[in-house]
Amino acid sequence: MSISIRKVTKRYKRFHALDDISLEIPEGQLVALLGPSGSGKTTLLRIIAGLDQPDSGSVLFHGADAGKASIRDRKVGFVFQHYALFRHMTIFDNVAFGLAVRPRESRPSKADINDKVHRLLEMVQLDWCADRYPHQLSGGQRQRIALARALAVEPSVLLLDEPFGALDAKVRAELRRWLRRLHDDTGITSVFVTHDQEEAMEVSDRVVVINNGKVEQEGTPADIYDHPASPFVFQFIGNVNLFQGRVHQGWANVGGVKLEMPEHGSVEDAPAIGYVRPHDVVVTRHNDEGSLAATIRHIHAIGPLARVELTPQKQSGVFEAQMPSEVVKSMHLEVGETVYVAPRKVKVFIEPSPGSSPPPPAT
Amino acid sequence: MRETVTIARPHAKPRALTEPRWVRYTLTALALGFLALFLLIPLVAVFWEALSKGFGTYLASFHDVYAWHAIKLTLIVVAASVICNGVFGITAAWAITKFSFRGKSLLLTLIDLPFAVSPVIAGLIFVLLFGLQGVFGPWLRDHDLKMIFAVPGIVLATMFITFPFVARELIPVMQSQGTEEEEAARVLGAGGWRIFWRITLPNIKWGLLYGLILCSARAMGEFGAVSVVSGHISGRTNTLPLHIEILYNEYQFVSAFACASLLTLLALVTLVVKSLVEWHTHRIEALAEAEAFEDRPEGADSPHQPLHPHRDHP
Repeated sequence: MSISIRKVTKRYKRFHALDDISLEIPEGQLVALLGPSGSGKTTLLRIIAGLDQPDSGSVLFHGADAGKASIRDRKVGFVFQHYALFRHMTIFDNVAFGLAVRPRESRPSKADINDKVHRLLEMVQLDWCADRYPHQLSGGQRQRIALARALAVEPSVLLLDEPFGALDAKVRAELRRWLRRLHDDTGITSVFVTHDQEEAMEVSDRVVVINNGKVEQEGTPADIYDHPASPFVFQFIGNVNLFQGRVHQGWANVGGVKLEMPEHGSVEDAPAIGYVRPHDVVVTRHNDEGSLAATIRHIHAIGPLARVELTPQKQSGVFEAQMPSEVVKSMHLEVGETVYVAPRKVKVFIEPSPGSSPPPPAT
Repeated sequence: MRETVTIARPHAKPRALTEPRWVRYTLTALALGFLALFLLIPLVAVFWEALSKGFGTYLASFHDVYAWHAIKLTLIVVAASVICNGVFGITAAWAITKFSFRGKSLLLTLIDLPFAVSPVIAGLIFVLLFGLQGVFGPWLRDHDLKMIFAVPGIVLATMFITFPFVARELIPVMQSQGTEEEEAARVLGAGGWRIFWRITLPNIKWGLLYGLILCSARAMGEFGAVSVVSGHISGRTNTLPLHIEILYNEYQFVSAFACASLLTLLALVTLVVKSLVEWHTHRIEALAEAEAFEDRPEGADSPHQPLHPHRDHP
């Protein structure tokens, strides 16, 4: 089922949790709402579920206004960050709950419920713990039960609120892949909230970056990583080096490097910031035009990728270059040595002066 | 050179960490002495006096019509106030913990009012409200209803005195549990009524029971407020505590103490039930704590390769 969010606004007292958000979630996709804490992503998810009401705007399920439907009729499955399993019920009763509370006419028979619950428990590989209680399971197991419980009612939309937030890194990575497989098998439209960019990038078909109650950017994970639409997205996703500079008549001068910027041709001498990913920083020994002399401060060469910390010689500050450990070895890079650095790819954002709208980005 | 260390019994604390023996014994003796003087001796005295003329006389005290009536009335009052305060307590705790509304803190403060007001004053308030000269007095008289010097007044006064117990007990329980389970049930399609019976009530049942026990203990023994509104009509508006007072004033010591022993027994039973409930809730809390502890993940035993190994073992 596709979901449309139309101009949704929600305030808590003075705080703008959601500020005029519009969003399309196509049928069958796994979409991540990504943002820092307090950005409004969980509020948006709860509004989609019907647990909260927007102050204005509407949520459409398959084109029909869901605001008029009761929570029961929305047919959503919701997975809470802290599982919210019913602590006094067995795992079986937890999973069966959504079926057992149906009105008599539509309630499946006892045997059918029994079959279905066991099938779901097999699917999450926890069939052996049907008679146990939630407190007897580990965090990862509980979250799988929470998923089985949400799927039992055959929802048309699955909503997950920081589903792996309370788990440790290893279980999290496992569950993440498992969720992806589950989604590929069931094809159910799913939306999950996370503050972990790696999680969002790895699992989802589409990522919606939210900040301060507004959508900063939406697109495929690759889109968002390669073409961040705003300084916020650039900094929130992946590591990035910042270089202060200025833009004047189609030329940018960032960090002492001159770059041609035809898109900013009409700009007259404005402050700007250049964003360079660490893996787009090329370190060489020869001083080409457009490169920057820098001193190596530190080399972390653990695993296949090495991080090299550098200080530019004519400026203050530190930036980072990332390259295969092999390269560090074959170049014999040493701490304290002077090298020349050139950016392979820079993105320059002109700093918005107060009152003006942010200018379009340029690569 | 190696120092030899003698290892003491595993449970014994090193001497340096505890007080000298005489301090420990004095303090313990003092505490036990107080307990005996103020609790144990009076308790024994009640039963001693009640049984001083033999068991037959003791039993005969309850054959009295008025005594029997007082017992029944007390039980009715307890049942009524426990039921009403149970419903009120759940409603108030629910409203306070699950919704936010104007006047929430005022409601919280008002719930504590009966603790602060003297029971006698509470009784007087009801006389002023419902007595013949009171605010609602004429209306009640016109409709042939009697509140003061009648059972409804006694129930009302007892309810007033005991209403904080359940709410006070439930508010922290409900606060700590939050609303996630209810929300989960709602998304799964359960209606409000079913959520209450299947999710909320099972989660608060021990706290609720504890509150009800405290409430009934207090309701049984309430004297001040009831004394003001009841009018001491033997066989009609005398509860057990009032009946005991009357007997005592009439120098019927055996009967007075026999009734007192009954109240004491009820109190002891309540105490035992209360301890059982407490023991059970502690067990549940311990479980919950263990649960939080185990919240660490499967796979915690997997080999990690820390980049900066901790030097735990120098």
